[in-house]
Amino acid sequence: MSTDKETRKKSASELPPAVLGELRKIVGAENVLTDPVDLLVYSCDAITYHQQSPAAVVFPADTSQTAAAVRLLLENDIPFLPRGSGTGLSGGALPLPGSVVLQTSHMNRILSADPENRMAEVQPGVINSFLTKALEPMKLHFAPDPSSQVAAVLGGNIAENAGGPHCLKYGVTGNHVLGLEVVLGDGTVAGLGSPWGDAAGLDLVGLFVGSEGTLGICTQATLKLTPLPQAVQTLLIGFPRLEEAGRTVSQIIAGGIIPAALEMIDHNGIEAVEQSVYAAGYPRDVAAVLLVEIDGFQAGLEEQAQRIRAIAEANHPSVIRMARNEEERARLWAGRKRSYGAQGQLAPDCLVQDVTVPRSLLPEMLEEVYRIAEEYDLHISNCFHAGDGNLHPHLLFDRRDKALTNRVLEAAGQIVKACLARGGTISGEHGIGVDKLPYMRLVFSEEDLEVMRRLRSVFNPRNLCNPGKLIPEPEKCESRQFGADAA
Amino acid sequence: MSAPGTPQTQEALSAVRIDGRTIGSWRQPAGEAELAALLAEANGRGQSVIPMGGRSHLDWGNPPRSSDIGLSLAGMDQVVSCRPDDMLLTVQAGCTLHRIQEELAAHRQFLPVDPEAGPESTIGGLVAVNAYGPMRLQHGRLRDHILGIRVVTAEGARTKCGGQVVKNVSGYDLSKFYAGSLGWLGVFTEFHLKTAPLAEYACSGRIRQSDFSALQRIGQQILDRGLAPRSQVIAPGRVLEATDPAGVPEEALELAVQFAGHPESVAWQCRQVSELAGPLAGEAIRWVEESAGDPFWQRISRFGFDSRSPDDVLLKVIAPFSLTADLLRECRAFSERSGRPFTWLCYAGCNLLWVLFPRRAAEDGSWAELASWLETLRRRLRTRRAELILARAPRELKELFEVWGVEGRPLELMLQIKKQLDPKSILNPGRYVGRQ
Ligand SMILES: Cc1cc2nc3c(=O)[nH]c(=O)nc-3n(C[C@H](O)[C@H](O)[C@H](O)COP(=O)(O)OP(=O)(O)OC[C@H]3O[C@@H](n4cnc5c(N)ncnc54)[C@H](O)[C@@H]3O)c2cc1C
Repeated sequence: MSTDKETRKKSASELPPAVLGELRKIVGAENVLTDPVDLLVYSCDAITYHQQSPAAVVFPADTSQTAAAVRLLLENDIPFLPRGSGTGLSGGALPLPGSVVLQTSHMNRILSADPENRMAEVQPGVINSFLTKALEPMKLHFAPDPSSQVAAVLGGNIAENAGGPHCLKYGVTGNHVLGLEVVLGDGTVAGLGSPWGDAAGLDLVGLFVGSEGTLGICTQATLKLTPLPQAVQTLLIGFPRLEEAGRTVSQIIAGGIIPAALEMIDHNGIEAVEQSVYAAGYPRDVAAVLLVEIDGFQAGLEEQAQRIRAIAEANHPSVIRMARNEEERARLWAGRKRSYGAQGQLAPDCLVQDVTVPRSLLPEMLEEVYRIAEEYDLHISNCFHAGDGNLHPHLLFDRRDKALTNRVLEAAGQIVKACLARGGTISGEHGIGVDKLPYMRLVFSEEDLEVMRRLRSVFNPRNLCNPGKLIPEPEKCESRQFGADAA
Repeated sequence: MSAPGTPQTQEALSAVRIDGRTIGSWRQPAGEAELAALLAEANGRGQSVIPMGGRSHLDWGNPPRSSDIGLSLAGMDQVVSCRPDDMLLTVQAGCTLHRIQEELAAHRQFLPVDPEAGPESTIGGLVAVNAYGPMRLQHGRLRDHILGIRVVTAEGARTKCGGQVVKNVSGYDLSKFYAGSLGWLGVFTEFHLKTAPLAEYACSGRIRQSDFSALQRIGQQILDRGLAPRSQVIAPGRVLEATDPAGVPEEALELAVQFAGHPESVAWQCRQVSELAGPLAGEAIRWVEESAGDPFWQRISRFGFDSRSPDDVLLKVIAPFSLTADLLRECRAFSERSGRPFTWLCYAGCNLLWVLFPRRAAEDGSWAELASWLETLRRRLRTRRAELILARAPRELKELFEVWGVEGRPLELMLQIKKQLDPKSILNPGRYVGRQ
């Protein structure tokens, strides 16, 4: 895949003029992009080492325009894919050659908010943090808070089943979606789920969430809202030794405390943040800091904080600090949430790995990550959702240095394997997309994958809706029979 | 076929009926490989298979179209591993919920669901119905605690989804999807479950009143204030009273609410309720401290299941809390018209109303009137995107009134999914949506 002029020109001319004309009729000429320069923006998501210009980008305004566009593309055998803000970190929104991108950003309205029933009706192009901001006067919020929430849209969150620091207590996106309106990969429109939370029959909403645009395009969603907590306390705990930070994490959870968030930033991560404009005042002479937030009612919160302190103190921290006010708290969080951006000044490219292990194995897994970094001679930092056992090693590189890039990709693969060896998995929240596709077979058997393919075929029978993502295609061309080698 | 686990006496098995239908033959595989071979063989022959756990929810769903093989999972009842530090439990599908809770209690943890579950109810069966009880308000349904599942497909393929970690987006999220599928898409053999710490302290309060809307207001205010009850129900006093239900005045209603967690936070929330209910409560609120497995809440989770009479009719209405009063009015009007007494229980805050028409002393077997009322009610509910499911009912009624009420594009999709995963329709044929 490349972004040279050749490819760009080719992409633009790939769409038959008649199809282009029809698309312009459906969404309006101003809402179809074909200029190669315009298309460049849509040639990748946040992992920029996979790039491919689409044939066109279309901005539908609603469900019916989306459905009409999908039907037209199906009739003409043209692959297509939905796209939110392109902050994805697995190449989910990467177009295949000749694809049309259905960009959801014009569907950006909050249609209604119902505080009594704690739900909101939204379009998929609403930015995550805009929703939460709009709900503030009702003392409610949308709990999933990916670090990208100021840019990522709800459709993208739903498609990736996004997590975030506070998902430790509140659960990932899937726990907050009640109903969906979707244009399926076959061009039909379906209403899935129930706003009242318990639709009869198979859980089609549960299946759609996290399906990375391979089943269809979400054009409207009914989301569950969560009350804002009455009180919050945020602790910053620094440890000279990494194992002790890791042990503190397991002991807090095993001690029956479920903090709202429990994040870890290691030494290199701290350095990146502190040298950037997001400097949060993290201690710099430690191996790692934990950012622990507890929330709930004022009553009892202080005692919980004391308990966390006691657990931490037994593990020899060098610093324990409590945010004294909202401003301090916001600063501590800004450092964490902008840690990815902070890497930008250290190297032009950064691969964020996303793997999960059972929590008690965090210290061991981190050791392994450092060993791998040393083996491949790489700069690695770690900023991650420790309470969930969800690691994000950040591997820095410069794409122009081919040898270094290859080492980074190999090391990323080694991290995945180390994780699997410890009972972990290949993605905790960033999804599979194209980037993790080669690892799917390390986790799933051909039979496991066949179940997923069969399910996909119900919604997306011709596999023209975001093809090449999430599920590897069968190794042999013939369709597989189940049970052939079941013993 | 000999297998470890609960011995199933021949008489017990031959007495099993599903909506009046007997089972052709019984199989009890000892492990997944044997189960896979068995399913592949049944699939080859086109024989229908009814997977069963503790047989507590066999009357769930539409009447089966056929029942050649009764598949007991009692031979696969082991706790595979318990890792309290990771709050992770791995069990075979035939393991009972009781056994799971016992195992976890030793580590001051539990699986945070409290469904109607007899001592024989298995985790596999409970996942198949996506079970829950009143603590759903805080902890959700069983699906919310599943991290991974092993499933043998109708064609005998041994598959898995999810894993052992709390956050996982590798492939479709099938662990959630399979919950509630009633053994229609595959047979579960093993689960990785996410456990929770046992609450340090719990306290329940009960408020008696004869005015439903007053109780509803209190229930709504509890939620609006951002309080976080573990459970909250409203029901006739007679439903909630264990010792002398007949002594409770007929018109008396009660709201029961439970808080669990940190003692200080529980106490503070109880005070909030006392304060907001004060002017409305009539008589004082009765607060009772509780331990886990409190009989009061256990009884609530059994609502509608206590009598094993096959002629009971239990409705599950999924509709906004604010619609409850209207629904009860409709039920009352029908009850008066038809001479069918009814009782009810509302999960306040979960948008869920259970309505029970208990078996009448002289049940005359005429269900047409009830069926046609249900049909009207379901149509009306649909206009509010609300649903009515027939949770328990005699076969005669289920033949007149389809249990699930799924229709339109979602039904088509579900039937296509069935075709993909169980092409010969051997698993629980007829029992699920669209009578398939
Ligand atoms: C700095 C940074 C921090 C991040 N932090 C987190 C984090 O904490 N937690 C986390 O989970 N992720 C995180 N991410 C990853 C990413 O932001 C999330 O996956 C996010 O949900 C993607 O949203 P998007 O709108 O950018 O989607 P896109 O990247 O545009 O698309 C992602 C996928 O969703 C599909 N899609 C988009 N819209 C729709 C729709 N309407 N219907 C169907 N499919 C659709 C696309 O086809 C694609 O497969 C982070 C990314 C960055 C760059």
